[in-house]
Amino acid sequence: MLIEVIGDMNSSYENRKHGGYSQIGNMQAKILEAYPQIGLENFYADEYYFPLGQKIEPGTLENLKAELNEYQAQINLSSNSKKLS
Amino acid sequence: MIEEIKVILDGNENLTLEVKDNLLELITIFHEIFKDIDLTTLKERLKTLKIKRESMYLVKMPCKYIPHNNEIAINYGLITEADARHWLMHSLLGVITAKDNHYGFNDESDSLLALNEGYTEILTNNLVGDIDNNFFTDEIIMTNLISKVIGEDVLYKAYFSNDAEMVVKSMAEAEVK
Repeated sequence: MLIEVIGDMNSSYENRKHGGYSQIGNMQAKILEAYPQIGLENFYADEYYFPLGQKIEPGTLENLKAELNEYQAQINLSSNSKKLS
Repeated sequence: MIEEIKVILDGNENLTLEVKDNLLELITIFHEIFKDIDLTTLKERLKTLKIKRESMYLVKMPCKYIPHNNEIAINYGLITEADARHWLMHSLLGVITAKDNHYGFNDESDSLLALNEGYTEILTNNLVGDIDNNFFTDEIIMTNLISKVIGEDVLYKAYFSNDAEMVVKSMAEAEVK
């Protein structure tokens, strides 16, 4: 699965270089499903990658959070056994 | 070490004085934070490093290091509106970790290209700070997630030793668990 995600990353990167759209939500969803122990709190690059005081593009993170929240709601509705801790 | 690099830069006739000063500043910042990283490749490549304006159809970013030519290619239209210091640091990391036609833990077939760019940008952010509308946000987020699966130390070691196999092997081991 990780190799598949790496392939998705490469495709998304090349696509965006030529004006295409982000596929970040799909890629995050794959990792979330395979490794739920990572935890949602790690699904956004934390302060280690965006040092305090540095500028962050808020729109990007807010859109990602909304997309993941929607995905989580769908998982909870479809199966109780897939509850995210 | 920095004095040695200054001498090497002074000897490179391809670069202007201003660019040499910029590079020296960024190399100093890098060396302060990553004291244990070997700079042999950097010292060798700085001797003949070029900065060249390239076609916007070939270079989609403000600038990009091309290891094969030992050249930092500039998209003039984009660099004039970008944080040039940030992009130059991103390119400099390519010079520091260059091997043949790739850098970091990427390989000849670009199989880890996006992950490598994400990690390069993570380092860049830590060295000179983040920028608005960072193009590599997706790559940073995914690289962060993958580092949570295989370990941050794996990416660090692999990046500075040009070891794509280490990353691939770690991912395979993570799948088995």
